Amino acid sequence: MAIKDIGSFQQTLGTGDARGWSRKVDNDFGSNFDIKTPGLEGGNVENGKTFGEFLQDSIGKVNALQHDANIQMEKLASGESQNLHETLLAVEKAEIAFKTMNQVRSKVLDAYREIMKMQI
Amino acid sequence: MDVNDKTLKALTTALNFREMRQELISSNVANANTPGYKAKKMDFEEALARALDVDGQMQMNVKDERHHTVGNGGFNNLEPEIYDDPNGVVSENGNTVDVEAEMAKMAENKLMYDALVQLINKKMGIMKYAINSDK
Repeated sequence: MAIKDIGSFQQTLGTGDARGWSRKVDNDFGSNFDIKTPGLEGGNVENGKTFGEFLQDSIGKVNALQHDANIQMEKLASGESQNLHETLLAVEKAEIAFKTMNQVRSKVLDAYREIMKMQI
Repeated sequence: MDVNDKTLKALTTALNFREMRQELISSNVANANTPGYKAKKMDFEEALARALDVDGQMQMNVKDERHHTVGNGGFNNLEPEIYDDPNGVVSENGNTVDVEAEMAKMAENKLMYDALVQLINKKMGIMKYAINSDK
């Protein structure tokens, strides 16, 4: 179950970028609202990655785990490896990674909805 | 996301072949006392590995949509090799079935079959999870 089109994520993140968003908020409300989000301001996280890159990397990792699980399964099916435990472990890892990613997605969507409900 | 991707095809094909091997072993055991019966053996792993080409060594590069993919996903005409086991010890009535060895093979086969079923369940489970997770 490969997660395709990670590349197109970059576009989405490029246009709907959190950096531009926070800057837009600054412009709209002037200096009254001094929103300083350490992760988003200037787009710099401690290890020098933007939030978009961080997200992209994480999704890429989930995808890599899925891919690895697929390859392990194929090897087991074709008798290339007799390693039941490693195959099951790889599949389990991929499942956990995917479920975690999905939970993060739900949380982000929840937060988005919460913000949309906010009265201004 | 492809519901019937390469991995799933491989798992299904392997399950089919494992079932076939189960029947083969059963018939070997059933004929353990048949005079002149030669124990049968079946190989499918190599053919499946060739069709799967996990390491990508037999795959040709495809750069144009008019190119044909070679060495990738040829599951339709896969056939296992069935032959008389050459290692069998011939007993006095010409039979070469070793019942204990057949039982061991059957146990191994069952183990792998169960494992493959479990893997398919897991793989389908992730897809179902992705579909069912509303919000």
